[in-house]
Amino acid sequence: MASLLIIATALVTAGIVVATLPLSHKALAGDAATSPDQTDTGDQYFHQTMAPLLKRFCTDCHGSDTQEASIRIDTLDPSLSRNHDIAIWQDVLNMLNAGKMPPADAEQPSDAERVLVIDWLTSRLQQAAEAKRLSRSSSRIRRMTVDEYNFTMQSLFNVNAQFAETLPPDPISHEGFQNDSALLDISALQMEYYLEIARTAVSRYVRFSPIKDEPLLYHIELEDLFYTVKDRYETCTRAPLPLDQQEFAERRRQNNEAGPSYTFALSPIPPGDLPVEGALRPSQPKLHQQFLPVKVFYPVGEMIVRIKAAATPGRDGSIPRMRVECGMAYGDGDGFDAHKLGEVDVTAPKDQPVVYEFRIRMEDAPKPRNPESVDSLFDMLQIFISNVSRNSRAIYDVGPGTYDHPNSPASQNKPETLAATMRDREKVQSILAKMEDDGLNLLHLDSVEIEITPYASAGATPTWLVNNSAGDRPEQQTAVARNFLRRFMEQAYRRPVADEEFTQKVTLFEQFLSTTNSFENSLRETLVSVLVSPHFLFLESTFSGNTKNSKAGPTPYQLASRLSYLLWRTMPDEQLLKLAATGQLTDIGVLNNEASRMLDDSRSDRFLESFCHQWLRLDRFPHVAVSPEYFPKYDDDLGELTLKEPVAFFTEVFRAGAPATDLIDSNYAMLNARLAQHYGLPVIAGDDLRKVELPEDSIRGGVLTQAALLTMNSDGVDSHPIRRGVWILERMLNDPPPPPPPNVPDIDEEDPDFRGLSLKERIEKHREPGSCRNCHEKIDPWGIALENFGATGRYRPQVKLLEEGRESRRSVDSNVHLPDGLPISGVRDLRKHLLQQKREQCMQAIAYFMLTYALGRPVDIGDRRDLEKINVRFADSGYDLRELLLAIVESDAFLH
Amino acid sequence: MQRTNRRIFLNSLGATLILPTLPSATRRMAGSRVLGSEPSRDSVENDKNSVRRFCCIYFPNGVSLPPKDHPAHEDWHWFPHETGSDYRLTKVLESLAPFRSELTILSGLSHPATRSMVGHATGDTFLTGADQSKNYVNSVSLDQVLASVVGGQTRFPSLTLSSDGGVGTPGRAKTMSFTFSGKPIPSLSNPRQIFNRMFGVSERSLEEQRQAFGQDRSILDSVLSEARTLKNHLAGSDQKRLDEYMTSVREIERRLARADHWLDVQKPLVDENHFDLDVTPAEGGEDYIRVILDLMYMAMLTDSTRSITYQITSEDAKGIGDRFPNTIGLKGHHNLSHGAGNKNGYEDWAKYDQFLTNQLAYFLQRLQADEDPEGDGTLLDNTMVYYGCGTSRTHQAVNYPLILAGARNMGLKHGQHRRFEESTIPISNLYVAMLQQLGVPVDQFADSTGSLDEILA
Repeated sequence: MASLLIIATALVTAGIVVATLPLSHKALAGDAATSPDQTDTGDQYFHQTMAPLLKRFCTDCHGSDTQEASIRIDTLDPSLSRNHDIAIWQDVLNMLNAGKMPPADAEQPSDAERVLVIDWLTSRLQQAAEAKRLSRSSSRIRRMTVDEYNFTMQSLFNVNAQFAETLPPDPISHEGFQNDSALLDISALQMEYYLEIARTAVSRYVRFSPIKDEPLLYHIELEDLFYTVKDRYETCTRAPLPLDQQEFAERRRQNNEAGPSYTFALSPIPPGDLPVEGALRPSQPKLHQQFLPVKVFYPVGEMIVRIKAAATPGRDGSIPRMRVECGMAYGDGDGFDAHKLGEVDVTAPKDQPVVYEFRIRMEDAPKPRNPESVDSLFDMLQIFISNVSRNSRAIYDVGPGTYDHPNSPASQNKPETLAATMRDREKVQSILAKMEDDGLNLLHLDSVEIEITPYASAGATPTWLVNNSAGDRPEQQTAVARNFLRRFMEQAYRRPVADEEFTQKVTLFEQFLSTTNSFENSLRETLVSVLVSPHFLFLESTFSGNTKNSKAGPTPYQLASRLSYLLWRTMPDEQLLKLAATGQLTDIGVLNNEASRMLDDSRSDRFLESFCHQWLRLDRFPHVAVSPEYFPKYDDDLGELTLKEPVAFFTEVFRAGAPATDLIDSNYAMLNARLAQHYGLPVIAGDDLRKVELPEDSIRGGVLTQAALLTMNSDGVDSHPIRRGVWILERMLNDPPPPPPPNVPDIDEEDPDFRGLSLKERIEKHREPGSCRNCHEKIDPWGIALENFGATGRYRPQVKLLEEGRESRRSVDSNVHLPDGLPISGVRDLRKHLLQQKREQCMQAIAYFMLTYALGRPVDIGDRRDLEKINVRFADSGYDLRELLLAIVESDAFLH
Repeated sequence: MQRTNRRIFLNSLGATLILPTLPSATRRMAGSRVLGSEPSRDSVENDKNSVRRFCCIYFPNGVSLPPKDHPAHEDWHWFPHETGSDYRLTKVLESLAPFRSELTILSGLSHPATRSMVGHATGDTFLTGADQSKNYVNSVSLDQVLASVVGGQTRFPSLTLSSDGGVGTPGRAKTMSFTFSGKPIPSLSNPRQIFNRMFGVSERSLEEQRQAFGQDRSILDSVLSEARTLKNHLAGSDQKRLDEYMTSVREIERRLARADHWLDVQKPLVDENHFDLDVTPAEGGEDYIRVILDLMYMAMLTDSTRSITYQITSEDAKGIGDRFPNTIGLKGHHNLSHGAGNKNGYEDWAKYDQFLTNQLAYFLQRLQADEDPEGDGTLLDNTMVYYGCGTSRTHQAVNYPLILAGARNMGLKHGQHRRFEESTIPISNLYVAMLQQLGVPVDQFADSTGSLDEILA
């Protein structure tokens, strides 16, 4: 009992610093050692000269009694040895330089006094910056993020499967980034999953014998496919069966010769959430969807689905959008679990159908849960093919009925079933005919081919094939294992392997071999140990470490990884490793060439996507649910689409070399049919996002008017000016407002003054004199300027209100005074203001965030010099994002 | 993705659940074998009277507390207006009526260190009591203290859940559990993943699994030695990066030692068809929360673990659960908490509080409905359910709304609303009392100044 007590109390009082990177005191001391007296005299100087000034002008509002904006100055450390204090001192300096503090209505220091403080702070901050820079180690060792792990496993095994689905999401730093090295820990839970994932991967993708299984081939003419799903117990399934090569070729030939033939066309779906009852139930016919069962498949392998399809365009020029999913219908067909393979605009005319190809790893497809009932249609793997273009006049549900086929046994055996079948078919035909008359687009399916290749991707040989002629003698086996193991380790560790660490793994193999007597098992388990090794899970690990010497730069291999994980989010490729091996990569010209080469590779889209997502904090998008009551035509597809828009837009600006100021305002946008319609822009056909010129003086343009950001910063019913304001300050201007103070009062509850006020008016109340004002007058105006955009990002001249079912409308007022007093009206003025008055600040914000992302840690005072250089180069390039990224890659902060 | 409501109620569980047949003697023996490797902990007896479980359910953003002169004050105030045993449950709490004698409502308590902090930043310390008012530091959470003592007696020492998964952002953590070194423990949020972890049956034979455990140990030894060498090569500040890795590897080594003997114990056979494992938090508030509560209940019933935390959503508007109120026609939770000034603002907020209380009532009802296979009385009698939030009204980190339920066999005195003078008693004092009743003989936790014995019978 006594010993237990000690354990518990000792442990509960233990705590460690998680979020702050304490500046090394040793480094500071070292710095001070160059002028031993400076610290002492500095302190004296502070107490005699600075402290009285601060006391006189600052501590009334930032002292022991009041801490405006949560800032307290009298307790700050004058020697600038604490990170947190450095940041505040920097703010103090900025405020003094800008003349913003003390506030206009307070006593002002003389110019001489102001200069005195500014000079002292400037020099102190420079010293702190230098100390910080020198104390930094050149190693950037950190755990891979979940995405990086997934991509790395895909690269290592050369397979496009998902590896990381069981790993818990990564921590998110205060600035919104998911690669902060200080936060990326490995918990025991993660370690368990790493082990499990590694075992599965090794057992699936390391082969000890060549694959003998033939691919499974299906050729399905849709008119041959029939099954009734009206009644589970009468289910008559004629699921297609795989064909041999010859038969498959023959069916394909016949299909090509006979020309296209179609059964029921697939019509669009209405916008908005589909009726839940019967949604995606195979047991109810849906006019937009065809499904087909896949009875025989390989659980590990790749499935290619080739669909020969054509379109009847709509009268308005719309074209069908074909979505292909693979998954399970289970239970009585009322549950559904599917994985999307892809989507495509279908434009081929009916007399010339075109083959569209989709791929999926079978590992990722939802599997039958109940292997015994594999003969039941419901527990069978299904391919779902849908027309997901949206049209308000589309008919979704034809009510109870069946897609039964007149030739099905059920129809053949029972006259009344046959009659019902014929009736239902007529009903479906007549509804489709009506939709065609109405000018809706239709999707026609001619045939479907399915090819399932076991293990590897079609045409590819497995990357990790063990030569199984190892023989029975342990020495022979060890020799084979050694060769294989070295190759595997070097790829996994992304660098050459030192003899010592190699020997350690060989010993592990021999130990396994002696206890299990199984070559295969022993090698597999050794490979598993490679995949849970810190050298695999941590980026930039070294073995022959020179990293203790902080002056020495990173090794060429560390550089190779640093580049490839920034730009590709996966391991370096052969060329990078080769340049690392020869040492050429440390040459700045070579490095620059490599960065350019990598940016031209499509893998760099991963960087653009990931950075843009985190910079804009799109992770918060799912936290808001759009109200179906207010927005009946909003649906998940639209939500997903709007989420793609900012990334597509950022990618376009980056790839086209357009100035980054386009992010603030642009005369083009990335749109498709649905989004153009959502925004009330001229109709365009097709659902692939593409660059579209905006009409003259359009309210759209730049990221501020993009639906994802407006929705994410709404409450799902109405706009949310405060959230929008905070977002603009944080993400666009990099001038985050201080956190709300503790124990703030609520806005007066049901204050009679509040009744009948618009949201803007109520928020203005926020800014009446009182504790909220100081901050909110800096926040709210930015959001109020966006009041013309509702919760889904559509333009609104009026606000719609629903109260007890009654609808009322109120006009929108987006006129507001910005914090500096400038009156503006709406988003056009806001963008103009940002472009003209805040251009540099916005551009520097992007540079700051991109550097933060590239470093995998918060930017601090030690990076100031680098950041200044990066800003200059970015501006000189006319704000070219690619130039910005290259400037970051070549900066000291990134390279050393 | 559309989904139909497939929620399944676990009414007929008793008939289908196959619990491992394990005579208490075997368990004691098994238990002592594990405990034997940790001699300081063998004081914990493992008989029927000492099955003690803990489970924390956390919600964010405070609760609706309409002021005195407000028309909603009487009915929609979270805290009952009266104290002692004659209190009346407000509308918010009325679904707890059947459990009145099984629970205590606590008011006035808070962590002293959070009283000067922004309310939203208080979730991280709710179960730890760390002082984050100056720096972000954290310390061990109550559930992990318990797990360190009783964890060896169950297949899983503890279970950490949330609606978001992962660890979130410091200050807005998406987990309630922190290790002894103050590191956040990632939470699980996917019902299927939780189910598979708890109840999934391995396809490998016992012999294969045993062999795998042995191989795991060799693998872990191997990577631990790699980590040690790597750490020696690193500069001081980078060495920290490997500490948590090494701690985790050692933790798994300990788990393997336990898991090895658990191999002889058949995993409980739980039919997954009793759970709607495919529901996602974005799809359904109640559907999702209840499947998590069902899994927690099942973990208790099968004695798979004795220490569970579940964060319904993270503080602020920073978690998926912020949208749960939408499923009952209300605005986002954070908005509700800031919208008291709106028309019906207090009522709307309180309606969501009521919704949350209903989920607690559901959980208590589940625990009360079953005899405890491992101990005397019902599951509820041997489970301490701690429900609450780290702020009263939003941004105000004092007077936490708290309910302590169950654990009749642990000597709690229930049936009362106990009001403590606001901001006088560190809530850690409550945690000392709770830990002691849970069988962990501590006399201190974080900043405690004593034990809140008022909660005891």
